[in-house]
Amino acid sequence: MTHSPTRHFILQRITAILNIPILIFLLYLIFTIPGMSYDGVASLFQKPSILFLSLLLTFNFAFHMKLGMQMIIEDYIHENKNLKLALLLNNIFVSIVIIGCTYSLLTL
Amino acid sequence: MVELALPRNSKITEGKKWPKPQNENNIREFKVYRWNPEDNQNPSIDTYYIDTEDCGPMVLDALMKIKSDIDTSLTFRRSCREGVCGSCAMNIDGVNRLACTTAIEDVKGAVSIYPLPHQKVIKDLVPDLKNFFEQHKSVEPWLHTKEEDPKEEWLQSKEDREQLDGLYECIMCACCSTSCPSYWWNSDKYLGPAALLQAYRWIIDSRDDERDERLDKLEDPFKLYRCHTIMNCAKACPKGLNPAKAIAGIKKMLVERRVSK
Repeated sequence: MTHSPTRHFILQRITAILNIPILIFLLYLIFTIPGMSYDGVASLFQKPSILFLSLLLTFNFAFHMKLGMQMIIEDYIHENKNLKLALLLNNIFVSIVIIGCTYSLLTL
Repeated sequence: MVELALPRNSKITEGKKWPKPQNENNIREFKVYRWNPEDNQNPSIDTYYIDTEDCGPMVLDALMKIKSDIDTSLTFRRSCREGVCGSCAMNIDGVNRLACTTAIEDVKGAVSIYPLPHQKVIKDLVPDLKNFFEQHKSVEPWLHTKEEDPKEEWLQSKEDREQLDGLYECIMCACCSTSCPSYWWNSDKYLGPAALLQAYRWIIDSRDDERDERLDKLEDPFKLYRCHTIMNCAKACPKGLNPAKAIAGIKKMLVERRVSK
């Protein structure tokens, strides 16, 4: 359950706004990577600026998704036990996404 | 979980089809939701035919015509007949509106009339609005002051008074709240657009001394933040008000308060 709803509201808006420039970076990756060799992609992601932006993309998208899913879960699941379980699963899923993507980016 | 399907005893069946008047040219068909808690039957849709030449122009006129000439058991609320009291709010042709200000000729085809959505039905077109009015009461829609009462009245500037335009006109018909999906799913915890419009009306009143206390009460994941700016409330309001804008105003004040802390 959201303990500080205004904080949740602010974070949702900040991550949403931040997603706009990050999306442009994502589009850059989508149009740049096809056709590149594995070594070429690996060296691209080893550039500090690209690595930083990719990590930012991962964190921001995943965190924004977590906040949005939390809202949807709170809207539709009313029983306390199921609500807590769904929120826990949401947190676990987002953690797996963040850890998995971060590990992939750092070990590429 | 949210119930997405109606329980078996709420499934709507086809009801009685009342005889069509003969030799009349201006006949309109009315399909009206009927449910009587005393007969243990499922709700049904009764069909009535009205000669519009022999009836007033509004949907409420047709309902009163049905009640007085065809079927006296039809139950609905009504009072002022001019869009001031909000009693005759119902779902007409799929839209929440006042029967007294909705012209029959503005509805194409058969006129379907249901009670306001997602509220318990007391009988026929009469919804149970107890929770709705309790929520209105919970925002304490009266002046909270800390100073001594003035001898005559609490004064405010013309500019401060203008801030209340678009808010004080609410007639509490419940068209907005019952058109809001967030209110459908969480009406026990989410205050809904009507109560929040009234909350905002008192929060921004220059004469009120308890703005922070009022904001504190609304800082809750359900009371306020279930509004997802769907805007059905603004579309449904028969008085042309915009509860979504008022809710956005409350959220803005909460954000400003938090950021400035």
